[in-house]
Amino acid sequence: MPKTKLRIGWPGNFREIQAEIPAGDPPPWDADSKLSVVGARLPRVEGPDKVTGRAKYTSDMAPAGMLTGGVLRSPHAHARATALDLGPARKLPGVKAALELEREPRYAGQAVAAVAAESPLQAQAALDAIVVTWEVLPHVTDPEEARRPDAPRVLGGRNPNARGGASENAADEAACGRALAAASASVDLTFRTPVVEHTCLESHGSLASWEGDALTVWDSTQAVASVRDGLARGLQVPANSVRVVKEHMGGGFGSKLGMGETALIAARLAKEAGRPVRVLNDRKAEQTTGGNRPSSVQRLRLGADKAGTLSVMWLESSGTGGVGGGAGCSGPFRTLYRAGVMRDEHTDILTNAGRAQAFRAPGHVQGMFALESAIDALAIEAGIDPLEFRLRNDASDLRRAEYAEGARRIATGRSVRRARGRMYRRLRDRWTPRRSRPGSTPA
Amino acid sequence: MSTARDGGLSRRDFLGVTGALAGSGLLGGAAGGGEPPAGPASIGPGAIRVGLRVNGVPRDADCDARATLLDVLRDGLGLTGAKQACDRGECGTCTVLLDGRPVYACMVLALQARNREVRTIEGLAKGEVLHPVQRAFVEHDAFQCGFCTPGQIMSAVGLLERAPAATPEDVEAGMCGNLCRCAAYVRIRDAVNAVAKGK
Ligand code: FES
Ligand code: FES
Repeated sequence: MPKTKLRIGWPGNFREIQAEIPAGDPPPWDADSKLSVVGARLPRVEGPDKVTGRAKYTSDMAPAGMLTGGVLRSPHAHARATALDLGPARKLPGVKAALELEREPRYAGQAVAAVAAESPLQAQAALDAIVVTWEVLPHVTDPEEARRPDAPRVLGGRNPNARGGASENAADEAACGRALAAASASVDLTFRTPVVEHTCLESHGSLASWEGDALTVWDSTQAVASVRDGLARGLQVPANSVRVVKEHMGGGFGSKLGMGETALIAARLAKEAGRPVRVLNDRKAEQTTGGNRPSSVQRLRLGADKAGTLSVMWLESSGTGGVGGGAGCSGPFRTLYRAGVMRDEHTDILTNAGRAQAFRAPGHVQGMFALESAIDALAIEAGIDPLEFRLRNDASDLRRAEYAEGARRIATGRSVRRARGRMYRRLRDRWTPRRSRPGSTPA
Repeated sequence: MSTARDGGLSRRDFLGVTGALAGSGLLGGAAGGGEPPAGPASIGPGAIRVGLRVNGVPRDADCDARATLLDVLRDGLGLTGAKQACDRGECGTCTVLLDGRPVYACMVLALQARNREVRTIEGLAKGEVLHPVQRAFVEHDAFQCGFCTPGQIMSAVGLLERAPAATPEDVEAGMCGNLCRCAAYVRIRDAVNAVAKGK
């Protein structure tokens, strides 16, 4: 592969590297590249469309003949439909399709059945007409209760509710205990963060239309390819017969990276009805089924030696992403600092609640909040300025340069002058004489 | 064919009223039998015609008596600039001007807007020439996904027509009914302040 010399880094720390660039690839940018678009103040290409209302979102698409889809959702965290009769719904005026989706929902809000009708009111009337008899089954929605051995199994069968353990290469608990005892400053703090919802202003939604065997779906998605693949799998059709379109999307924040359930429901309803069908989550469905960031409970035990160097870091975490996993939050713990003795262990807990979805660097928001709060507390405990403590312990040259630059700008007010508004002035006035301790109320 | 009094009747009041009427059998249908009931009982279920003035043009739409102004704009008239995000008067994405005042179109019955002046985002630009608030939103990059943007702009236009010399404090207060989930707030504020004459 041809080699190209590149100058990379940041002011005060540039270096040259030899990069291998595949033949035919454009030359990569480096510090000496003259860029005309990046870094320039340019108005958004789609700006005029967005400020005039011309920009069309999935929820704005309404082709001729379109039907409105509606979804019947479970009112229970876990239940079995001993009777589920779509017949009365099918007989109502305007109803063109009806589908059974799930007889044993495992969280409140899970889709149970769906209908398509000429108007939203007819769709609602059809949902109301569906006859369903529920047998409520044991369920657990509290993560602490879900961990108990006698808790109802969220996924049924022998699937355990709690899964996890220590990461590879983790020091053992005894070693952590000894290091903490030997530390000249230490903290032992527990942080709790709640489940957080994405709350996209445009809910998950899809409009599906068949022409023969070819399916076109307009979807409020961050990833048209994953929706196409999901539809192909879910409908057992070749991927090249599925086209997914998204021009504008009213927020995703990670919750629209995979295929949402509305795509498949709309496609199946449209097939049955022989007409285009649009299925949009209403606000309640969006909040209960549109995805969320898992909760966390993080116990952090940190110790530092006399020189203010981290000697031991120990994270014990757990969290729930409802019926899905992915509550881990140790990313920052494993990447920001190093200590001689390190241990992290995590337990993912299943509960009868809506499934978690990716949300803005999954796990990092919770992890960063707890870790950096604990680092502040440890610095104070060690009698060292929290910024100075980070400069001593952060192994990344780049991040240390950023800390220094940030401190310089705040001290000289450069960024403050540039940023307009009272908020920034208030921030500066509070920051300069930093007298508060972590956990205290800002003055 | 309607019971909507002018003003003073919220959508929730209305739904409560119809609920109560249905409960007492006054809505007719199966419970009533015999004579067709008079007065309020003749609401629904068929479509009713509402005449609106939208962006200066008289428009007729046939809709259910329970339809909101937002339903009629979006589904009946194809004006999809105003968005529905919460459908409960909390987010402001559906903001339009009703007789010059910003309102949440999801909280106004179409019937209540009869013979009143409705202005939507679609009526703001003159051809390709943007309204000063629209231009300021583009110049200040006051959005990301853009879903809240039509509502933000209509709130700002309503505020600035009422108070052209709005101060930054007025702007903060006047724009507080519109959520932006992408959190473009600082730029939205800058854009509106750039058009406002107050200092
Ligand atoms: S949709 Fe009307 S206020 Fe949210
Ligand atoms: S720009 Fe996305 S919600 Fe405001």
